[in-house]
Amino acid sequence: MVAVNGIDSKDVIKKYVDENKFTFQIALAGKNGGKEYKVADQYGVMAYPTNYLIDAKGKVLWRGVGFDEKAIRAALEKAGVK
Amino acid sequence: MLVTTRWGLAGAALSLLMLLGASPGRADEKGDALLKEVEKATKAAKTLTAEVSFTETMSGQGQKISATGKVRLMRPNYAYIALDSPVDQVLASDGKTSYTLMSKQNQYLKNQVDAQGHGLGFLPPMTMFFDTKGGITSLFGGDASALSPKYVGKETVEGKEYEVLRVTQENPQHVETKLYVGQNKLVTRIHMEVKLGNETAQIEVALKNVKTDTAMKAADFAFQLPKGAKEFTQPSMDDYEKKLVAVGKDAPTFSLPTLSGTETTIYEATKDKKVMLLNFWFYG
Repeated sequence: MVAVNGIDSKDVIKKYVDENKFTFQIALAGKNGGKEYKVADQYGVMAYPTNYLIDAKGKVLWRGVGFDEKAIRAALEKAGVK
Repeated sequence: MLVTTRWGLAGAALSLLMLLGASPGRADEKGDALLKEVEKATKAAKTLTAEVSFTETMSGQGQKISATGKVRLMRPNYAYIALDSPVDQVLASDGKTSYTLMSKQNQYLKNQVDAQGHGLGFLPPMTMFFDTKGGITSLFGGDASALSPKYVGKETVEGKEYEVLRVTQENPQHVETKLYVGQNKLVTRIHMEVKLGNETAQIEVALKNVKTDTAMKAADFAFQLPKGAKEFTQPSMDDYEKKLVAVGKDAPTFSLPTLSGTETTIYEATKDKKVMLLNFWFYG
C-alpha cells in the first residue's frame, strides 16, 4: 500500500503517522500546483479519500471515492487477497 | 484551491443558519446591557453604508487573505456587499433573492431571502444589521438565544476606542467572537477565532466610514448577474468518478518522495505483489 498526501505539511503528516504507528509507505505529493502534485491530477483526484487497486501489471482493478471500507475489502477479495 | 472552496462554503452557509446548538456562557449583566444598547441602535438604523476590510489568517500554513470592499444594507432584507481581489465575491439581495457571486469563476449561489433578512450579510458585523443576535452565529451555526456575551472591557484599535463583548460557541466547532462596539453603539468590527481541526482561523472584519442615514430605495438593490454567469452546483459523486482512471486502463506511472526519505515508484510498489492499494488522503 502507498498512501499519497498532497495537502498537509510534512510535519503534520509525520506527527499523524508517528502517533498512529502506520507502517505502510507514505508518499509526499507536495502541494497543489507543484510538480509532484501531478500524480493527483493524473489519477483524477478531486475528493478525499480516493482509492485505487492496481495489479502487478499496473492495470486499474478497482477505484472508489469516499470512506467505504466494505467496498475496498470486497474489491481486495475479488482480486484474490484475503 | 482551498481558498476558493472555503469561500464557496461561506456563501453556502448562508442557507444553513443556526442549525446547531451553542453552549451558554455565564450571565454577565454588563454584557447583556451593552448588547441591548447595540440592538436598539441597530434597529434605529434603517440603512447602513460602509467600507469593509476583511482578513483571514490560518495558523498552520500561515496563509493570509486580505480584501477590502463596500457595503450597502437596507431594512428589512436588502444588501449589496462587494469584496475585491483576492476574494472577489459579491453578495446581493434584491429583497427576494440573494446571490453570492464568485466573480473570478463567474459562478453564483442563489437563495431565497428571509423576510427579516436573517442570515443575510455574509459575515458579522454585516449579518448583525438584520439580526443582532443571530447575526453573530450565522456563519458557523449556533443557538442565538443562548448567547451570553461577556463584557471584556475597552480596547483601542487603529486610534478608535471600542467597548468589547466576547461570545463563545462550542458547537459545531469552537468559535470565539469579539464584538467591537463603537461610540454609535453599533458593532463595527469583529474578530473571530475558529478551530478547524488542528488549525485556528482568525477572521477579522472591520467597517469604516459607517453611515446610517443614507436614503435608499428597493430599486437601488436590483442586481444583474454578469453575462454567462453559471449557477454553482456541488459536484456529485458521479462527477468525481468520471475524472478517475477507468478500470482496466493502465494506472499512470509515478515516482514520489516518501516520508522516510526514499523514493517510491509504481513499479516498485507493485513488484511481487498481487495488488497494490494506492490511497490519496489528507489529515486536515
